[in-house]
Amino acid sequence: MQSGSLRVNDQTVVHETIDEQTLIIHFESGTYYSLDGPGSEIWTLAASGLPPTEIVAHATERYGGDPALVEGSVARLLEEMVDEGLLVSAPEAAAEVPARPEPAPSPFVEPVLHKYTDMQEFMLADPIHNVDEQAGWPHAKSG
Amino acid sequence: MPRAAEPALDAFFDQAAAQYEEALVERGAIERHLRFAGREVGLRFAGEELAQALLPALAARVVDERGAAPAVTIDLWVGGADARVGWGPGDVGPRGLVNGSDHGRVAAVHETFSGIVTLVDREGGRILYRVRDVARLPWWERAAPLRPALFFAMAASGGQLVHAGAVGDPARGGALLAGPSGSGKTTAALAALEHGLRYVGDDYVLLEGGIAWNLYGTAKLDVAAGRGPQPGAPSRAGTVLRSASPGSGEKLVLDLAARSGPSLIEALPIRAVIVPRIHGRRTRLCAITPVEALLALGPSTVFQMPFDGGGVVTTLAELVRLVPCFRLEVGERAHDLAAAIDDALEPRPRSRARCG
Repeated sequence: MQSGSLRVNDQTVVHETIDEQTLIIHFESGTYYSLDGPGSEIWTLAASGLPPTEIVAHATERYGGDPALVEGSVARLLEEMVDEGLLVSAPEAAAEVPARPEPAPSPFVEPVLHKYTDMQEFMLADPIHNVDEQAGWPHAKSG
Repeated sequence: MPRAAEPALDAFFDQAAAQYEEALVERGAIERHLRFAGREVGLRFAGEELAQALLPALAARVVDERGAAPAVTIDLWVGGADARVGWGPGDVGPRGLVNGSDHGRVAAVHETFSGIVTLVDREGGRILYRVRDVARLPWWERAAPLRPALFFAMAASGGQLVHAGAVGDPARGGALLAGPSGSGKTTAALAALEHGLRYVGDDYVLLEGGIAWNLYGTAKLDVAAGRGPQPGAPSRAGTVLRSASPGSGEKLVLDLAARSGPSLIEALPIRAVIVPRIHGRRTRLCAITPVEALLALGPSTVFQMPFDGGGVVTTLAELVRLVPCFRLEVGERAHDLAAAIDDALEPRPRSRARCG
């Protein structure tokens, strides 16, 4: 479990959440992601700077069920989002404590970070290897 | 002050401007004013060759030059095969954005494949556009020219270039067609045009205040993929501006401004977002969530034009919150496609069932 607060890596990430669905774009890697349901809620809470232990407490109260399952799922998702460069450590973060959650209308399901790489071709043009070997930089290879 | 490791973009801009002035004296000036979203952009070509390559796709936006001076001017010239740049390969980031462009007076975009360099003077309202060789301009640059230049020119006044098409009619408004290349945007847009709807664009539009504005008078058809209008239909949609060479991966480029009868329309307020998906069987329209629509709109726009750090996503999110969003499974019959788009524009569409 991440020990301290996190924040969005806003140097390279843009995100939007609508109706408990989230789109996250990492515009340096050419990768984008989506989350829904509990995953979207966990993203929103983490992005607000709420410490992981409090995210777990919030989700456990909202969804009920097995606390160990919730804790393990939150820890895995946060770790994955840090590994993907979407969240970074924020020791100084001071989040507003969210209001006591309403009971969720459906049981907790393990959140999945959906990852899409189909746009990477737009971002991975390699200027070095596209250089014409005879003419040199900045002349692109023909053909 | 530029950071120590960054290229000196201000100095490079000034050198390039001097080279443009020399080219202008040598080759003569061709000037045109274009109007996008009610605002004029001036184009000043040094010589005819580049003007002939780029103006056909922009012909519908050309206006009388006797109006007020445009707020932004784009100066365009051919720099020649030995044209240099003021940075190294390590300075060129995603989509050609040159290191140091996110702050200061000058932004630079270097499209390394084509050699096109766009230099933006944020303070002076002037943009420079240099190509090395007109003969080596890629087909897509002729079909949809000056995208980085127009991105910066329009962003200054709140407009955003979006990777999407738009069709509709003045009475009901338009549908934004969202999705990556090959998803069926052009197929859907031309089917709609064929059946009486009007066309704002098939691939790029300017979005401002919920209104989609026309940028280009072209449509790009993937004839090799066997999709789009059946033989004979392209001639009804418009004149062929550029043929696609077999096996080249190029698309057929149609000039819709030359079509007889109503076709292009300058702008439509967006009333729906449609995400086409090539399906191959029966056409079907079904409802999707705002974020499902945003998944089709946001990444392809941001990754093609990451020049504002992804700020366009906020605008797109506002749009998908406000209008109904649909998936269009693109079948084989153009008439069914047009009918589905027509349905999406109705205040109470028949196709309100959620996609499975």
